[in-house]
Amino acid sequence: MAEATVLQTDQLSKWYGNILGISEISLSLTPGVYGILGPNGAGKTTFLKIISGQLKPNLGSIKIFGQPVFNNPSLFARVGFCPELDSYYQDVTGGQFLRFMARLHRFSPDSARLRARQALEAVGMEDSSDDLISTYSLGMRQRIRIAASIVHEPDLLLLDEPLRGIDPLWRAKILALIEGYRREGKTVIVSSHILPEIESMTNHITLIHQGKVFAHGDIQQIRSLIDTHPHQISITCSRPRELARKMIASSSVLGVQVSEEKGTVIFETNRRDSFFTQLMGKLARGQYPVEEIFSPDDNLQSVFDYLIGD
Amino acid sequence: MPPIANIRPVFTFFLNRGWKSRRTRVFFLLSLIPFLILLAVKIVQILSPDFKTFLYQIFSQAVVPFYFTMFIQFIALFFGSSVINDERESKTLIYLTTTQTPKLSILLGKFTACYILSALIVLVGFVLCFVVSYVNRLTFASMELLLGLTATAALSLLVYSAFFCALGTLFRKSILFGIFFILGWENVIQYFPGSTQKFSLNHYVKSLLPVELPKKGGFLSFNLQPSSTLEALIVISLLTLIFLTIAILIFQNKEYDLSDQV
Repeated sequence: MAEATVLQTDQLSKWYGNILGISEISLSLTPGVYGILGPNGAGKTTFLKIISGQLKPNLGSIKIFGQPVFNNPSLFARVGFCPELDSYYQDVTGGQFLRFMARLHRFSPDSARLRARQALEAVGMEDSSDDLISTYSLGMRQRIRIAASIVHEPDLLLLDEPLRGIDPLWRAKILALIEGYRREGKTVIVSSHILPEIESMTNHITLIHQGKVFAHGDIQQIRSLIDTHPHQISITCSRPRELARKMIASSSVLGVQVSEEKGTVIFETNRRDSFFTQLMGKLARGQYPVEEIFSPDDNLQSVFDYLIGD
Repeated sequence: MPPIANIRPVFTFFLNRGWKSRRTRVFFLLSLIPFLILLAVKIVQILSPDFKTFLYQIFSQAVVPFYFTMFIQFIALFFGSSVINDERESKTLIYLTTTQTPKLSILLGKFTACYILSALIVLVGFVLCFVVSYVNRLTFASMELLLGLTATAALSLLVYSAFFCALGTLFRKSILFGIFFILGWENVIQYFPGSTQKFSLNHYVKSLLPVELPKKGGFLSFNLQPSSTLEALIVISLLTLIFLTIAILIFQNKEYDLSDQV
């Protein structure tokens, strides 16, 4: 039997004035744990804001459990959201906050008390439940936010940078909590810009870069995509055209753009290691005084390097 | 799910928080200032029998104008606009809007809590002022006057709170806009020719007052004939409803992006 679709987005796009948030994101997720990975500003938070009903897409559609998201409070009986923002009610204790959250999820006062206690225990905060949230450390505040997102035991849990500020011991316990959700057949979507975090939770990742889904699948699939993905390398030197002419014959070079005015040459390659070996040789032999070498898609480079295993 | 479901926990939570808030304490102390002044005058009166001042005149000539042309508007501004704006500023709105509680309940629950808190602040201070001023003249007629004044204060606070609540759902800088509205529009429009002052909320509030505000020498004075009590009541009720409806519609449809990050 085919698994039920939890989240379905079709050509989801969002922009803020002239600034692109996300563009044409189409995903279909069944129960499991999924990582949304990308550098800061890539569009992960915008994506999570749309799927948590805070923002409306400009184009495209989104459905969770077959229902629209924006202005649909009944959907949140099955959805929990832990935001990235370190925001809290300063004059409220952790216990009061969780009881309030449980009450907002329509539990009776007694049930809310019970749910709050269970959620506090799940994140190890039961001893601090009577302390004001404003006295908590960053990691404790993060744990109380996670507790708030699970107080009603949702079927879909959305976690935006959930491990920020959490100490290693509790990191492991939060990971175990997420794994528990997976075992129960629930869905967890975790956003992070730190690959090891995501990797410790799931093999299913979606790479977002500049608002677009760059790759989607398990880590092995993405690694194979990245191996053949063209990279840009920009070199600023005194004789860019001459360097371009010497490198163009190389099989690792897919394309070249020269700007005499700026003194730069941009190479496109799908074999970075081979390209750099040849480049270094040419640079040494030709004695080109190089001012700068950089990759315009450098933010993702570190992620790619990690995925490739460099 | 009924759109007004689960209003009670929202109301209770924000009422409990409101009691302890700095805003409540500050406005409560401010509301006691006229009372303390009247009390001081009363003590001087008792200690020096030659000191001839009628406190009930101070009450009607100074305290009533202070409350009805300034204090109620400002307390409504700070409490009414805080309903959504505080949640947006502290970025806690996200916790409210990602639960099973409809936005309508969130707004009305918090609005009611804020209104009750501000009404208590206004009424406690106002009633204390009245008691000190009329302590020797407590008659049925004076009690009737008190009832009329407190009812007008409550209605006035309601319509202004609803207006500023709508403003707060729309603008981040609603306090600034509100100050311009109170000190600018609400006063300046009284000097416009014809019946343009009917475009101010204050006109209808003043029309309900059982005492006359001072006509001369006051920037906040009443220059035109008041509307009838019935008309004022209907307009205030309708405007409250309209402002709250606007606030609800804005809150339900507006996207509140709480972070600076795209």
